Amino acid sequence: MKSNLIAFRLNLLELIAVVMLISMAIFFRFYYQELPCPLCLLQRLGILMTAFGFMLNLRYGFRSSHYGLSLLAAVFTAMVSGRQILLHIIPGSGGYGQPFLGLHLYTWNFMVASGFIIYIAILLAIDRQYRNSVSIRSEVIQYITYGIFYLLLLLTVLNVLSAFSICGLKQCPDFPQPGNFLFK
Amino acid sequence: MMVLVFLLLAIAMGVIIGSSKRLWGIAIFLTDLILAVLVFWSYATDKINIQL
Repeated sequence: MKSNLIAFRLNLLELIAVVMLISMAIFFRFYYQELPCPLCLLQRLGILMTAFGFMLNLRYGFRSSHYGLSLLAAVFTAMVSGRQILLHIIPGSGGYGQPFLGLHLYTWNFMVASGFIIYIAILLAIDRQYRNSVSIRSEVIQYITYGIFYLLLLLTVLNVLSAFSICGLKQCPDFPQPGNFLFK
Repeated sequence: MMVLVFLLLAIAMGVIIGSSKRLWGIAIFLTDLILAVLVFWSYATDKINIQL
């Protein structure tokens, strides 16, 4: 029961981390007036996908298959951000967007995705959570959990709108410009 | 295609939050993941070009 509660809290913590990361990405988009590139959008998608397995855990009980889905998404995110790092690895080739604390957002994203992979591997190893999969009955925690679920859904919908405003129904431009809007 | 991959994720999340169809949610999620890998592959290699 105790290990179950720890796993519950750690799952919830990951969801909060994803909400904060995506909110920050959206904030930077408006603060720096920068439109996300196609690889940046795919990284956002990967981070949001990482939350899916944790949502399944909190909704239906802890299963290793749920962690597996999140692990796949984290590996996908690391692949995409790794690719973007390699695109700009040659000295003098610059980078995409403004750096944050000395590193570009895709470099941060690679570190976050690598961190998620380690985090999920550690969570997977808590064996007792699968045996004592008792649902958390506290109403306050239920409200918080569902609040975060809906927040994640809202952020995903916002990204649908953002992707649509940048790419329309065509392939996304490599260097989106503010005037580059819908179907152009 | 980029819009579609985000949309599918939103649908998968909506399904698991709003209903108890867990397997449907997982199926939509896996489809989305495969599509996302294809989109990434198309941007990384220019070998395939996925457009709607």
